[in-house]
Amino acid sequence: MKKFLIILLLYYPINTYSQGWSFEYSAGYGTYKLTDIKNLQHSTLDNSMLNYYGLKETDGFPGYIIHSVALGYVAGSHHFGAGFSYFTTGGRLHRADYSGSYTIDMIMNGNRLGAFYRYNINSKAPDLNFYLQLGSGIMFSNLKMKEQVIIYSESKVDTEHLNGLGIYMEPVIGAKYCFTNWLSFSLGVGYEADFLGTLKLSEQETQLKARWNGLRLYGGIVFVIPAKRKSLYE
Amino acid sequence: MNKRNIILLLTTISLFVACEYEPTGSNFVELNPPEENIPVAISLNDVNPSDTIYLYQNTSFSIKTYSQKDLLETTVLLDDQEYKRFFGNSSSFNMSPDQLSEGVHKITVKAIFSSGTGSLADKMGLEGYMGEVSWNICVIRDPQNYFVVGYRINDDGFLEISWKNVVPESLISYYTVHAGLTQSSDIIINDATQKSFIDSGYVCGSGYYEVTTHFNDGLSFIQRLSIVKPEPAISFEDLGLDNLRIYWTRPFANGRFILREGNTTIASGIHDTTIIIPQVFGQTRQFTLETRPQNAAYDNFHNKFTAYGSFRLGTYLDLPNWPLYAYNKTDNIIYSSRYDNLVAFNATTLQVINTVSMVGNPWGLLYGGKIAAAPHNSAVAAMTGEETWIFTDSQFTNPVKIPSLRGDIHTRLSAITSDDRLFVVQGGTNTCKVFNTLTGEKIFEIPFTYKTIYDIPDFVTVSDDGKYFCAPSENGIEVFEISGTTTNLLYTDTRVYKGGMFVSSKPDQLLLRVGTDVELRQMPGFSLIQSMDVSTYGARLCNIDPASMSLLYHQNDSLRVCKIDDLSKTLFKIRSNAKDTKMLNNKLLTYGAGGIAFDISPYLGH
Repeated sequence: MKKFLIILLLYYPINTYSQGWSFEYSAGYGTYKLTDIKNLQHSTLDNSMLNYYGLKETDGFPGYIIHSVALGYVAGSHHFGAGFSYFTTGGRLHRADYSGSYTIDMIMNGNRLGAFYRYNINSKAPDLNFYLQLGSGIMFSNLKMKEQVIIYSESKVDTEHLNGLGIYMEPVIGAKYCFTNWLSFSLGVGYEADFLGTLKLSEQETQLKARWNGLRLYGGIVFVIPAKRKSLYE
Repeated sequence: MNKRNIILLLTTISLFVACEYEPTGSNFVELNPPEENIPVAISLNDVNPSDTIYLYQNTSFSIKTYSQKDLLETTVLLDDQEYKRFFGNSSSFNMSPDQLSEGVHKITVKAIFSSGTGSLADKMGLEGYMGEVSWNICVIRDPQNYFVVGYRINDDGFLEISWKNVVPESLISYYTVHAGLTQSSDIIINDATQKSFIDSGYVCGSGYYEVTTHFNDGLSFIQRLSIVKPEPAISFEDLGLDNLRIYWTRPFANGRFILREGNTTIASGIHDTTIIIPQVFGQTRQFTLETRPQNAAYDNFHNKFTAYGSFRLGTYLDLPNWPLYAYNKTDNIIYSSRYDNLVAFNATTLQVINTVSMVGNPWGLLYGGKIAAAPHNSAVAAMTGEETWIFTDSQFTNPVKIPSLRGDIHTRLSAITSDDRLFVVQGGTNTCKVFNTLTGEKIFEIPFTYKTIYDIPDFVTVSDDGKYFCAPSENGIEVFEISGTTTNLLYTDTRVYKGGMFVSSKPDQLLLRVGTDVELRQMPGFSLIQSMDVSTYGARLCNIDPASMSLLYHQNDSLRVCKIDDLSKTLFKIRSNAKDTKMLNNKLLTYGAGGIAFDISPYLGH
């Protein structure tokens, strides 16, 4: 990895942009297609027994906050590095009355680890840049299915975990405003496309695929640790 | 990446995970909680829980529940152990007596109903109502083994067939009683509490009954009963000269009785077991007792019982055919015939002293014949169908035989006199032949004018001493005096005579039945000693007993005895139709009827 970064730095021309190591934290919002998971929720609802019990969908995997951190290296217009993102959403089937409740919660967590490349484009405003970014990596998905029945004073909980591993690709377009040479604020919008991602239950593959496809909105701050300014051609 | 960066990354991830999405939303449905209690009914084969269920065969049990709520589950407990469990409304099961030990068990039906509120608890079957009902179940593996049929005589005297069942009446539909020997059709008893049947058709003898218990569910079993009780037997009690008591054993159950003598019905439909009827001498009386149900409506072929009995007054001498008798007073012997035998009886004990066979060709003494003896002469003559044998005494040795002197029923006279003479008048003749009993030689003959047409009673007679001979008939009479071998006619007339005999031991007295009188005449003048008017009832002379000097005669319906010297005084009287009876040594001896002897000595003293 280190070698790759060195080679990349050697062959890319460095402009007048600042350069140095970056740490970026972004909070954002993402929508998730998660087709199979939603279908699972719907099919669960269609189950005759649960249908008999009168469960209804009260939550259906809505878009939710994204947390991302990235470590990178800024070299002029180029900014590349590695990042980690955390996605979470969930769905609920629920029914309650005086006698108790029946809840099926399906909580989907995604831990995305990948590399990115961002190309910064100067704008007329001296502190405002635009960028194009492409990221890719692996997505660790976890579906936690928690079924809880409470009848009067009796309670029973069953929990199942399904895990999957997929890959993703995410193009992003955004803008960055530099407050100082070491602190910037960025905004971005992108779209994530997932591949593979088959969920396994107790190491047994299922038909379910965790594909987090959806829109991504990011807003974050970037810390840059400036490096010594020198020309590569010196 | 250095360690610091890794720690930073992991910390970041942990923070992020702590922000895991929490699904939201609630689907709360407002429902009314169920009531605390609801009415529930549980039924098992519609049996009241206070009643006992009897399990005596493979039985299908059907559980019925009644509630406004839905039935979820039914559980059957047997002695508090789960036996069957049903879900839904279908809840029937079978039980066999073999599955359980005999005795009383407890069966419980527990039913669970939904609350019907539609709540989660309701839908999960965790909320509802439970009801249970228990019954006692009595297991009887073979109820037919406990089906007992018995019998007794009830207070009214009729046969009562009764039975016992171990199962209660509520399970029984009806009974049938088949009494083929006493009832014309099967009896159906629809009241299960009635466990007896009075068979008015049974009296005695064999009774056969099949009692069948029919259950409500169609099961039936049968129990059989056979009864054999003795039939009435006839007994007799001699009540003396006038009455005879006939009685018989009482049958097991009430009956009615029909008593017949011969073809004559003496009593019909009586219920008593004894009856007194007039005494009759001179015959063996055959009685038939017919026993039938007291109510004639129950009469049939099977319950008719006939008992037979016979009674005779006196001693049976077993003398077949038509025995004749002769008597020797000196030796106290009565002679008679039994088949081909000449028999001598002790005149007191009537025990046989001696017997001799007199087989002829073809008749001998078998059919008819004639026997002669004399009161004061030990000789006895037996006239067979071919010849006449004369024995000197009852030793029956060395008889003097007179060939061709045949005797039969038509022989009018066969008599031995004290002077060893045998007087014989053959039937249809008017000549008396006189033989010497010691030689068999014919001595002389006595011709007479009036021969009788009657075989019985005695008409022609000779005196014991052989001095007088008399031949009365319906046309007249001649009385001869005998001297040696010559005769002299002493008296004759043409009155209508119906019998005559010289008085034994008084050879000069002649007893005559003439016209409407009985006359005693004195020889040789034929003067009247005494006379008895018998115009009302008539009279038939039987004989004069040499031993007692008594006259036996038959008048109207009785035999009468009187002293020869006082004909008007009846010493003895007995009802009889045996008009030809003889009286010898105070014993009445029948002509025919096998020879019945009746000693009247005990009665003559009164």
